[in-house]
Amino acid sequence: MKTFALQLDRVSKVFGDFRALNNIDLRVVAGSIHAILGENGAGKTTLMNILYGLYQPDGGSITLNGQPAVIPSPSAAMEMGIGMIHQHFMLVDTLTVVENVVLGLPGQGLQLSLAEHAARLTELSQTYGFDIDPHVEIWKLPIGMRQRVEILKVLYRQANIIILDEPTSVLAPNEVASFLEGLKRLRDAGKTVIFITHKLDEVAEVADRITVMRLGQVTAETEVASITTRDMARMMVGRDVVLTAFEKPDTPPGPLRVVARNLSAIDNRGIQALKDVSFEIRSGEILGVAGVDGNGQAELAEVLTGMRAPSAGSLAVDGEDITALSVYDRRHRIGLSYVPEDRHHTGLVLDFSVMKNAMLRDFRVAPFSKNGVLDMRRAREVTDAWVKQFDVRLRSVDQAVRFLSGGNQQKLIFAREVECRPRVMVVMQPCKGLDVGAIEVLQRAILSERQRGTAILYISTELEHILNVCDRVAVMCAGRITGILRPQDATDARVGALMGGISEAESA
Amino acid sequence: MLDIIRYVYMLRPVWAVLAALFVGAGLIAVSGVNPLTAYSELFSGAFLDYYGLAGTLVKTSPILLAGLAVILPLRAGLLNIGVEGQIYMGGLFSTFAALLLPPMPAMIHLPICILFGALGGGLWGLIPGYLKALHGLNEVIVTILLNFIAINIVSFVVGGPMMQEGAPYPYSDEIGEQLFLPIVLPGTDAHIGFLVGLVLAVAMYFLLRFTTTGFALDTIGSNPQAARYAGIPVRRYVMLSMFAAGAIGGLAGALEILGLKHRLYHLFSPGYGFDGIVVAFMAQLNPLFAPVAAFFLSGLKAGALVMQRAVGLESTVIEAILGLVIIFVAASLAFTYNRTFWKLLLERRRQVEADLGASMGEK
Amino acid sequence: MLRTILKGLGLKSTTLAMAALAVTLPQAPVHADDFKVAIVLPGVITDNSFNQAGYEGVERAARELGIEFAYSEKTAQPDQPEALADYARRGYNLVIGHGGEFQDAVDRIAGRFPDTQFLAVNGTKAGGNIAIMSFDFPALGYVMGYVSGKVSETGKAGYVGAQKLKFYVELGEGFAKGFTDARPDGAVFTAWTNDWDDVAKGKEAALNLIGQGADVIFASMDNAVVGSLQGVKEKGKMAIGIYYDAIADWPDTVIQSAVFDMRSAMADIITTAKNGKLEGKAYIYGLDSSKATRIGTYGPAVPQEVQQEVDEVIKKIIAGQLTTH
Repeated sequence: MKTFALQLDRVSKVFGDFRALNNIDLRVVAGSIHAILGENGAGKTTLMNILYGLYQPDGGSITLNGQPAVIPSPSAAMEMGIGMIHQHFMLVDTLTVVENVVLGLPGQGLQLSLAEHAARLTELSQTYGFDIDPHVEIWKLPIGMRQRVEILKVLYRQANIIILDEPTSVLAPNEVASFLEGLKRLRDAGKTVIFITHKLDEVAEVADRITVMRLGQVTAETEVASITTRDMARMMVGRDVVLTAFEKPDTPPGPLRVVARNLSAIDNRGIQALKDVSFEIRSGEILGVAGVDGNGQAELAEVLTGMRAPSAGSLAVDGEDITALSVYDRRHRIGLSYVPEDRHHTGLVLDFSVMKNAMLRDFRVAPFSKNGVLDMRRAREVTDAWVKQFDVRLRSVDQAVRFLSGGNQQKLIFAREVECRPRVMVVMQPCKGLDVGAIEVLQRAILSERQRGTAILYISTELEHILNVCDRVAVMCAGRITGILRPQDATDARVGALMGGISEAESA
Repeated sequence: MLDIIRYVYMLRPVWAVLAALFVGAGLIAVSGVNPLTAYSELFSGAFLDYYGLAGTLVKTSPILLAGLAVILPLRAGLLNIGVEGQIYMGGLFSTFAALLLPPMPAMIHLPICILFGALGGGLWGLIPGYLKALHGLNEVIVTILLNFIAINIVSFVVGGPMMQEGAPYPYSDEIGEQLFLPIVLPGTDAHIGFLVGLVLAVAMYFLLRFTTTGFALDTIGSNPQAARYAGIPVRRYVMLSMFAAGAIGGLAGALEILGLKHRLYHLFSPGYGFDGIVVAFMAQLNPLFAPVAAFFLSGLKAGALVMQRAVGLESTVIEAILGLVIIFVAASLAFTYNRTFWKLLLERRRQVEADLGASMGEK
Repeated sequence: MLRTILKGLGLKSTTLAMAALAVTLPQAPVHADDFKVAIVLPGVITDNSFNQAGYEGVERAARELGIEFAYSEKTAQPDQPEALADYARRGYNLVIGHGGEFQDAVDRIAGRFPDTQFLAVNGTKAGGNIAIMSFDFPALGYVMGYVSGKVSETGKAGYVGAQKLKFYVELGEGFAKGFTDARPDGAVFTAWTNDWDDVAKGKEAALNLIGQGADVIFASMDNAVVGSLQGVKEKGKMAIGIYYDAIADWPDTVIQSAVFDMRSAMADIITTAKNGKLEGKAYIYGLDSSKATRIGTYGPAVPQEVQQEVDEVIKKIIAGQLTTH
């Protein structure tokens, strides 16, 4: 009989009227990589929070290394050798790597010998092939590195079971491979890795065993070798999902709508993040922007939407110069829509209700308000309609949007940004952290906007998504557009070269 | 059952006050007075007695307005500790208008005095608003410092340039009798100030609840980045809300001068601006609750003085009790209502009862 | 009564309940006199200064006369009118507002309680049932100026006040007149610090005046006086004390003190009121009521013949033969 590092029997969890987990059984073999696969809202994160002691189960039992266990708090989980890496990093940006690792470490007296910790940390980081300078401040690190710091943090606390919640959703494509390698090294060093995801290819690549969840229940638990990705997808979504490219209606692009000329911008740290960027988007055209995260895409989106003033260059929509227009004017006069990268901090007010979030973009105009007075009745009708149309799953439109799953939050944002009938739409990383079902809904929405004649800028680090929907692909590196390609020309090799900064003449 | 528990939570400042008074009873007993006698003097003195009620209403006027001056910017995430200073500047400006402007009919002069007061406080509030919006300076520190400046400006003005000839205390000349605010309860000092506060509270409730301005302020307060994203001019709203808050504070000062003191005094406000912070939190940032909270706090303060006079308690005991009330109320707000928790608890209780019932049946 | 009995039985009221019970019994005075007096004070009764003097004055008078009294300390400005009115409503016969800021409050409410007598200490306007009480500041200021003029070597003196309140302006004027009368070529500089209690400011002002050549300093703030006297002491110059006989604390520095005895004055006026003789007028305690307003002890720097001259001056002032400001 195999020894299970972790065993769950009939674990349940209830939030209000909502049954988040329903009699979950889980068996994790020691020294393996165990993937937990499921759509957004399937209950994966809730399950992990129970394992990490953040929530207490309302029923069922947990067995750890053959012993019955109660995990009352994260610090107790830590002591039992369970470490967790959250989707949203729990790091203090202004502190250094070693300071973050030592922060909250038990057994520290008044004297903190950072140098000693740093030496041990460097050693640890080399063991697992992480290349991290312990004295650099977190905010200076790219996302992939921050994730390694999180992993180091739990390794430093001698965790044997490491739980990762959607670890690759924040990574650039080129970071994913080395991350998966890292997971294998952890397993080979004898650690047990629990890996929550909804990305089938990653599961197929690294996981030994897999548990599939849907709507708070386990639908399958099996060896990865014995199952195809298509089966996994079916068990996860409950129906067959098209993983192939969409049929793009072959409508010819309309007149020139967005003209960006020589845009430059400075980022929050005072570094020039956008350098001399020029491009055009026609009506009914989707321009994709590919590139490794942090190469000026965020600044580009902000300059376009008016949230960041460019340091040079100009921007015009339908021949009108909008470089100096405010966010408000761009949204209401120009008809610009924006799906931001960061739903939690930018796209939504988490403490507001679903309805108030639906009103966020257009609360100053009809139908949401008239002469400065809000029309809550109409707002409710509109929100109800959107919720139905975009299949946003919720209890009530008065529910705080915080309690919606990521996919449903994103659907709500899409409803808001699409239903205002925009002329220009900027979409950034819309599918980050979402399951295939939600991705399909959103990509269809983007394509139908294209059909309507909207000029769309689609920024993503996932090349596959871009190639799925875009008419042309611009590749960014170090704040510049290094090339613009047609999808059929965008081979991995060419895009890879452009992402690495090797410029070539525009070929589209 | 859940509803009942939810109401119990909503009323937690009330329970806090009761708990504080209970602890305070110990202090009173230690200083050798029967707490029951003392408290009955307090409450009858503050609310039941005609003159006592008038005394309470006199205090309600500035305390309520100060509370509103804290609530408004706090909805946009700005903590206005500077209401005290805004009250002083409001008093100063309305006194300027009352004493320095050429003679004119009271029908015109009185509104001008009130507007001047609001303007003075508003400009004083705009300083931290401007520094916050355009230079990122912490509004808490700026407003605290501005309090000292405002109080000292008033002291200087009434101790020097505007001091009444031969006055026994630093104060200005008396304003014209035609500028006195009407009295609500005859034979007392209860002027219409608290009614102004009441009207303003209702107006603010509607503003915050039903207008785009309120929506914008709440958005800024909950997530400024999302507010920027939604195209809300955050800086303008920061300045505007601080100006408006300052104007309300200034109004409180102006009404104190026009309604009660009838001349500008050195140190004329004994910390009403800070009482406003207590009111804002007691009312849980809802302008509609602010009048209740302000009336209650004023009653407590006025009643405490009656209690001191009636049973001869030392002022330190009175102050300790008021301090207890504030600490208890602040602490009570840390408890938030958790529906799931209570629901589970009730469910479990029912379960236990059912089990018990079953086992009883077996016997 | 009951309390005495309990004590007699050896039952020390140790429990709170007992204490509470004991005090709830009416504290009726043994003397069956129904005259009652109340005082409302702006500060605490332990401030070692103005408020304490007022409180102790009332307390002493009440004890000597066997009457009931009550007080409210630390009464903030907006509460002052209501505090006075409340005492009047509670049947106190004499209600005292302790400080010039009560003038307005007394004016406002006195009309509502015609049977109550009001007293504004340091008030400026009497009439009807309002009496005011103050000291003859200029007279004593004049005497202090006269002493200073006689002993000054530089012919220059300095007066330090906090705020230009009526009485303190007059005190300074009297001081200046006395100084120049004693020394026609002399000059008096005046400084206002705008702060009654800031010791550092008091010292700074004194040093400033000394820097201008003054060698006698008369400071008339509250706590800030201490700073002025320290400055004078450091520079080895002379000073005039105020309120009490300050030579006890500053033997090498103080040459004379302007003693305004609030306790005696308060006792005197309450006695008058109890006897039903209090009128709606100004009670100004001058040099003729030597209990309340008098000079203190001379320092060694003042020669015997000057002291005799000063005695003559005081007699003239009492006789009304000298204008003091």
